[in-house]
Amino acid sequence: MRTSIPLTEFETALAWNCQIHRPQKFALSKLDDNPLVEFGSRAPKRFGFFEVFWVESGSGKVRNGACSHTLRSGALFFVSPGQRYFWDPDEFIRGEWVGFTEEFLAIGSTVGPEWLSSMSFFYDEECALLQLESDENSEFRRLFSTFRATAYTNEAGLDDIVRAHLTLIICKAKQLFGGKGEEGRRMPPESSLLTRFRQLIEEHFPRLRTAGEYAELLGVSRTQFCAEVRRRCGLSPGQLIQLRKVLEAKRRLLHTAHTVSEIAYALEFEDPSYFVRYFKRRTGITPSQYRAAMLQDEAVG
Amino acid sequence: MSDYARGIRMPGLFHLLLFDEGKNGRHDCHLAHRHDFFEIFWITRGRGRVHCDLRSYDFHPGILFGVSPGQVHSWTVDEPVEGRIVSFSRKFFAMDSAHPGFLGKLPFLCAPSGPMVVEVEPVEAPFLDGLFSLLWEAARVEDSVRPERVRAYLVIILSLARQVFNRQNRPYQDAHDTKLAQRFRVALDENFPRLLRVSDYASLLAVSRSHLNDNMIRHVGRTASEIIHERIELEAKRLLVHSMLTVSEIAYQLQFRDPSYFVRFFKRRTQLTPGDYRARFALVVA
Repeated sequence: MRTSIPLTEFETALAWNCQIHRPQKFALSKLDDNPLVEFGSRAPKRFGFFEVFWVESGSGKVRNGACSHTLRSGALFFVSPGQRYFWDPDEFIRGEWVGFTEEFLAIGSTVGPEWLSSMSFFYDEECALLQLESDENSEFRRLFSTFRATAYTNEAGLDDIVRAHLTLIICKAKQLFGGKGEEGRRMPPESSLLTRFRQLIEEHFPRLRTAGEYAELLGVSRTQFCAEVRRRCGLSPGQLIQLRKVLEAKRRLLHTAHTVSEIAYALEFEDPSYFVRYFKRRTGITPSQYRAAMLQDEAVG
Repeated sequence: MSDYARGIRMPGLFHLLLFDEGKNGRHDCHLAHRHDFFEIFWITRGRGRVHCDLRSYDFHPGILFGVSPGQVHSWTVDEPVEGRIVSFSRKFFAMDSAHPGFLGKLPFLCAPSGPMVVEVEPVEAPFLDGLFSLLWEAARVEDSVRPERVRAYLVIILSLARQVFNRQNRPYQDAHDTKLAQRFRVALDENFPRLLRVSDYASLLAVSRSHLNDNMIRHVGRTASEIIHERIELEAKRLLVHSMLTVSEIAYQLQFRDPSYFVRFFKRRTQLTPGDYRARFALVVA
């Protein structure tokens, strides 16, 4: 069954040699020696983090879900957590790959989870590929070379620098997707079920928490809704809602002075001790432990 | 040319200006002034001195310096100066005392007692200069992601400056800075001189008085009340040198009930009376 492709978490995926990486945060690697685009690697892959491929040169096909994209030199390809994809290159592919966790980009910086959720090219398989003009390709060459030059350090400030570069890459992609350039460049007016679902989560959580409530808002049957979401990202709607809730809890622990109980009530948990168990089951640590660890990390990092 | 005259701006968030002092004197910087936003200056040509809170620093190509809200600054130019000026508000980085965020981590912008000058090595200066050009380009495009893009370039520039600063100023290295210390600093900026008691700040930051104090002693090396007193002293000096207010008026503005108590406070800390301090320093600055 296709949905049984295992979801590889960040640390496992980093078994390959990324020169620049921080555990649970981000990794940057050249495509030349990246096993993700190996020749003949027909097995679909699926990871628990966001990915951007920049193909500086080379050509071939990349398949995600039910879509097959043909690309030539100068292209960007976007993957969100849980999406299945595989590469089928015709020519040797050069470029850069960057992977990052949602928590890394959406918690520590001035852009929030709702900003990332609004970037539909990460979630809509149909428009995950952006073919670049040659001047646009040069712009990404410059962007990635600055990225490499500034990320090759272990000094304080590295996390902020990497987040800023990720933001710039996403901003540029958004600008190009939305531009009035060649045909097929624009974002499709009617976005996919998954994108609309993510936008609805942003609007309605934590008040609405069941798949059924969201299926009703989307005007589709619950069964059809669950199957479609699971097919696209390997997680059930309920799991996506829970992940968003945990992410929000983390944001508030880091960015506000609210107590754990206040955060529990704000996220509509009836009992703070249930919130603590809920949080610990999904992250391995308690909310207070998370807050203490992150405050130290943020002040220094 | 329009960039040159008016700069590039988003009201309330950021303002970018080319800096060409000595040719047309657009930026009125000979007069001491202060404002409620952050400002960074990047010097690419010329020479001079910047006077900031009663200290003076030489500047020349490769110097980046930061001015935080409330700091009194002015400068003198020896050779015509060129460079760039970037102003931005706290709001642009969502900075407040609950969450100092990115700006709170920058010692050359947010540690009022430390030097605010970053001296970039000649080999690194062209790289930083390139980033400033990209910042200008990023700010010119008016689309929906303009603020995010401008903020991202500013974060890169300021983080690189932070790394250079930390390498050069070991004693000010921010590795031991804590989130609470940063929050306290921002809270003090926001509420000074309205709130002057440690307990006011402890309740504002939702921590106990003793926790705030212990944390400051451990990580900053001074008690919370000493930090507040330093701040009062600094503000008194600023007003003495840069304003026409009388000593009594300054005392009341800084919440002293009795001017004679202010005089004793000031003398104990500086060995000079406010009047002597004004007489001595007003000469140097003028």
